[in-house]
Amino acid sequence: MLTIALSKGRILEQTLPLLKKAGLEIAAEELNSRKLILDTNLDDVKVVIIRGTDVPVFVQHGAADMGITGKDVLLEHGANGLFEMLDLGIAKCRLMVAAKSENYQQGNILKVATKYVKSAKKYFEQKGQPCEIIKLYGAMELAPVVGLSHCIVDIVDTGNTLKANGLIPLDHIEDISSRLVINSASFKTKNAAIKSWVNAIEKNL
Amino acid sequence: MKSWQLPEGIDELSGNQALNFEMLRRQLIDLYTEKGFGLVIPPMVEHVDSLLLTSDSVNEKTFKFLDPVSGKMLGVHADITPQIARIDARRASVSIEKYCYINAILQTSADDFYDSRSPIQAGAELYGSNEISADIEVIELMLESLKILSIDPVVISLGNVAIFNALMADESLDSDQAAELRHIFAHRSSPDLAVFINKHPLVNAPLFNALIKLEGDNSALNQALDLFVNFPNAINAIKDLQAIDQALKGKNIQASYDLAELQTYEYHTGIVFSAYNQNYSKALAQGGRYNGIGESFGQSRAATGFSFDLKFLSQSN
Repeated sequence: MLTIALSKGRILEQTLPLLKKAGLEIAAEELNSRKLILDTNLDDVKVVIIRGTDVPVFVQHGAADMGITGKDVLLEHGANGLFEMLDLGIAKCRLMVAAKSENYQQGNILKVATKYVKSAKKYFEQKGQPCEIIKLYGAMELAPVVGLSHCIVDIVDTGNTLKANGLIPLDHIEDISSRLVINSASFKTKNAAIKSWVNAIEKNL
Repeated sequence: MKSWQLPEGIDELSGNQALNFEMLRRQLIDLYTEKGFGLVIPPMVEHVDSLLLTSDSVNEKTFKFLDPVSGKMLGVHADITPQIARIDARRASVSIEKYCYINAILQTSADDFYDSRSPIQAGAELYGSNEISADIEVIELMLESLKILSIDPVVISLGNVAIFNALMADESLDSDQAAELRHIFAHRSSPDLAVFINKHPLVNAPLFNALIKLEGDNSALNQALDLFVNFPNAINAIKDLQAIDQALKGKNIQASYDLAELQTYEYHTGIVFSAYNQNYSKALAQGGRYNGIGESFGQSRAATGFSFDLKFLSQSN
């Protein structure tokens, strides 16, 4: 039996066609049901659909053998115990620093609002820039506008939300897309089954 | 928080769990001493310098504090292997020495291998032999230990750090870049390797790309012999794995080969191995070769060994 953890929302919409091409289908009635563990067209494969941030946790602890989630989530989680074998090339965006203007820093300590705490800390540490991280869970764009922070670190897709709030994208930190992750122990104990899925998905990318 | 609650990652055994642990501890020590591995009980606390060697990972995992008597920094052991290296160096022996231990250790954070911050590390180490027979001896002892712990069936995954190191010898990466590359290999992340090679062109880029995916049954070893034909150290490393493959035949053990495996600690220099069972989501026991680990104690010797968390495995027994 293999369990695959999928991220809800935008990633799921782009994941399902990829899985279908690889031979895995989830019926519409399963997707629309309130079930948490979904059946697939294959008896030996189950799917759980959860928040993207929970996918690496499920896979790390063996609650799922494989998972699909964003690189941004993996950077924050640390990806301990996970193999990141494929870049699926879906849900592409960029992790960036954005602010009201290029000269966003005032004072010695840079105030950064973000939900990507680890990535932001690492980026400014590498630049040698002391910073104070303000952890937010959403509406990051608001922080510089109301004076909560000097800049934000967030994922940028079209840049329209930034623009609408008077912010401009500045430094590029990392390209983000969805990754296929595998529990490192499952990869050893269920090697043949997992490898055949990795190959089937890779062939159809 | 109530003061009688234990800190995060610290746990205890009581009742039947404690009794079961003690029974298994006795059986394991009987096994190791029968096989000529002498019991050592290293101190819980030592000077930091002798606990860390050159391993950044061990450094990060070690609790440290100031000794008010000497004014020096002391550490609580986070890994027994550096202590065995010190004990072996002090003996100044030129012959083969074998050690075993079952000791509580303390780590600043849990990791892939140790779920808790307070594991009880059991292990055996063999010093003074660079022969592949020494690696086979400790692997067989690890498998016998798992049998005592009723872990069955076992999948053993084998690799050899010397292959990665042979490719690295041609590269001019600084220590941060080398650490990043090791991290990429630890996650078998081919996508991140492509990004890394874009930023830092590698002389052996095609071989690194092949190595990160090189795993499977013993046919992977034949592929590796073809791929790394111009790297004598890598070829020797692959031949060592073939010798182990031969030795494991007929033992009812499923062996797989993962040539991108680098293990947790930087001190490994050759063969590395981990044991898995389908009911567990992590490696249950692991080990490998760490030649020259005692160099900073004035005695550079060949060494190989394994360890596991007896507290964790005894609870699933």
